[in-house]
Amino acid sequence: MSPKPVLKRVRGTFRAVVQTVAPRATTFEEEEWTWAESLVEDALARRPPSVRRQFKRFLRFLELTTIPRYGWTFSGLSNDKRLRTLRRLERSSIALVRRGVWGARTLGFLAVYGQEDVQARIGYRPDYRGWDARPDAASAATHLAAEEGETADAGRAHDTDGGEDA
Amino acid sequence: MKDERCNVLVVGSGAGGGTVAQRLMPLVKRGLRVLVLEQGPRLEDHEFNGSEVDMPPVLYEDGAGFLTADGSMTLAFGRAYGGSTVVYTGTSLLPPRRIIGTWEVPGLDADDLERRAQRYQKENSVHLLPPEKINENNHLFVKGCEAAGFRAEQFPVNVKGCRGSSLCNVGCPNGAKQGTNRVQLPAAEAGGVDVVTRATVTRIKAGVQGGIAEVTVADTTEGEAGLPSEWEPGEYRILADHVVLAGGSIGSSALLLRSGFDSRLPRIGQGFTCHPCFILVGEHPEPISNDVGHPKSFYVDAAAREGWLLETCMYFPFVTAKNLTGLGVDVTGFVEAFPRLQMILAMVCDEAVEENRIEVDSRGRPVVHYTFTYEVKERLALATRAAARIFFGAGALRVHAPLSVPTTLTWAEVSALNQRIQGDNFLPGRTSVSAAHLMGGCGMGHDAKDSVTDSWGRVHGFPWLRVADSSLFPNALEINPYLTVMALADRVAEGVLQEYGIS
Ligand SMILES: Cc1cc2nc3c(=O)[nH]c(=O)nc-3n(C[C@H](O)[C@H](O)[C@H](O)COP(=O)(O)OP(=O)(O)OC[C@H]3O[C@@H](n4cnc5c(N)ncnc54)[C@H](O)[C@@H]3O)c2cc1C
Ligand code: SF4
Repeated sequence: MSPKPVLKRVRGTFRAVVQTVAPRATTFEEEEWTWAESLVEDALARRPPSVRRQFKRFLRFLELTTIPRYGWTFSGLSNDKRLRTLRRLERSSIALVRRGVWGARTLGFLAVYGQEDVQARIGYRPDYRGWDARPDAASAATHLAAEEGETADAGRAHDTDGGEDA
Repeated sequence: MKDERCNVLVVGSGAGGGTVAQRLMPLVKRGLRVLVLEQGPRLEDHEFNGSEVDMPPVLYEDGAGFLTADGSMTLAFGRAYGGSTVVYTGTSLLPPRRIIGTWEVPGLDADDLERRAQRYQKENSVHLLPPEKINENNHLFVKGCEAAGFRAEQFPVNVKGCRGSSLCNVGCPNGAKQGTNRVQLPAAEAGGVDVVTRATVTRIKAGVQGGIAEVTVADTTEGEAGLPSEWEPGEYRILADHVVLAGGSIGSSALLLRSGFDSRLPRIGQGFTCHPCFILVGEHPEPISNDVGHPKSFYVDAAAREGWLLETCMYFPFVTAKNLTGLGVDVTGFVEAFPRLQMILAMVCDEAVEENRIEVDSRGRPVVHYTFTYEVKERLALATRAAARIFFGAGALRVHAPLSVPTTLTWAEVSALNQRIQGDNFLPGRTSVSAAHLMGGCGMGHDAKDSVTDSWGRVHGFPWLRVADSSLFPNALEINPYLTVMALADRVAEGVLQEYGIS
């Protein structure tokens, strides 16, 4: 049985965190948010219940922590003020708070850069066929190799032909 | 509870376990039973899809998100048929004589280890890639080293038919990387060794003759990657004449601790080291080939002089973002420029210290305590300065430096690198650090007062029990470790064969 979703009651704060750590998310459509949240829910579902509880607790703390300073909850602030808040907290003298920010920003990055569409948009093009799928890249690399004359030290004695790569 | 019997039980199937499994084939020929139990799954070739989201939960412990106790470092280690060799990059360096000597393990000889490692170099098709198979990310490292006055050396790698898909750390989709999952384990199975996956050894204890292992074989869940276990799911008790632990630094230490061996062996879990790393990026004005081609071809070795190494590398967008330090554009400014990124792994040598150790919690799960010493922080700073010089020497416009405030350095600041990048700026929990060379926990030495095993991996006071993995290292290796693990495991297997009169 899969564990209960974590983001249900803290969705607003979570989305605010994602937009702050990865500003690309400010233009996300609902479909992208659905992907983002499913990536994070899947990741959290594999973690122990204590980690899921800590994450939820940290988001609740974050939502309220800005009230004394700004008179507004975290998710109600501008991206700028949210970023300032997170930057302050990531340098907190309390290790648990720093850890909370690190965990939240990591899940925020997962929500954005874990999406294949986003990866394609930023120009990441993985392909199991490697060089065969990228003849343009192959010729550029060969050019650079020739240009620098391959001056690196081969270091230890190994047979260049041994691995049948050619 | 079902009962099984075997002559030799091997726990774990990674660099150590895979080596032992293959080396013990002569026992099978004599009608004896060699059994390897691996807690991770066995994947079919088509299941390696190269996705940084799909593969880590299948191939890594905790989906590659295992954190030290205070959450300040991510430790990456595999759990699959082939262990961490399924996800390693395959750089293949011989055991460093300089270090083996400093370990001062009675009976452990650098020449002997080198000879054994050379055998696995050959068996694993280790060689240098030709220049035309090397991408710009790697070539720029060489160019930057020349400009900055460092000596780049080429990594020998263990690939056969590598297509350059740059996906090594999520499992090679082309079966090119010659890990134990491709070489030693299939050979062992063909030679009659039984390998059972999804089988976790939860406890071991002494039997009347040999050892007894308690094992849980897991069922598969719907949609889960990997083949079902070779055995029926359930609980097993296995009687073995000899038990060889090869669960990795954390796995073997945790198993011995939860089985209560620490009452007689107080050094279990001690001596943990891991070569802490920064992933560093430099942004170039034009796109370079970086996500195609083998990711790791060159390195700079300043371990003896200053305690650091730099290696070329290339990670995936999420892993890259996670491993940079900071928030917002400090990180995303680089990640969004992915096609223009050059990457370097800055790795430092850490020494075994009392604080850094493996323990288990009340449920027997491993907990790793790690404190960053002053030396480690300083070495991280030295390594980052060197990497920044290499990036700028190669033509990068901006560099991400975790120990600088702010973390982005521009070309105009190149003369101020020493002032800007400071070990004092290291803040645990904020500064992103990771490690993939996990070592120690069942170190070799003289006796139970200073170690867990002797130089043949025999656990002090337990003649039926051996260790054959990276946990044997009494201190950090200061270089990529898998060939040394295989060489040590080869020795351990030889010791087992000798018990049966085979030399
Ligand atoms: C991402 C990555 C990249 C790396 N790149 C390189 C490289 O390029 N060059 C290099 O030299 N080294 C590299 N390494 C390090 C290298 O892979 C390890 O040093 C080596 O594999 C360690 O071997 P081992 O046998 O100790 O453990 P592992 O290879 O980790 O194998 C241990 C196995 O035991 C299993 N196990 C643990 N406990 C139990 C239990 N109780 N019951 C059953 N099974 C159990 C685990 O599931 C695992 O499969 C890399 C590691 C990683 C993670
Ligand atoms: S670069 Fe080579 S070894 Fe690495 S995943 Fe691609 S084909 Fe496999």
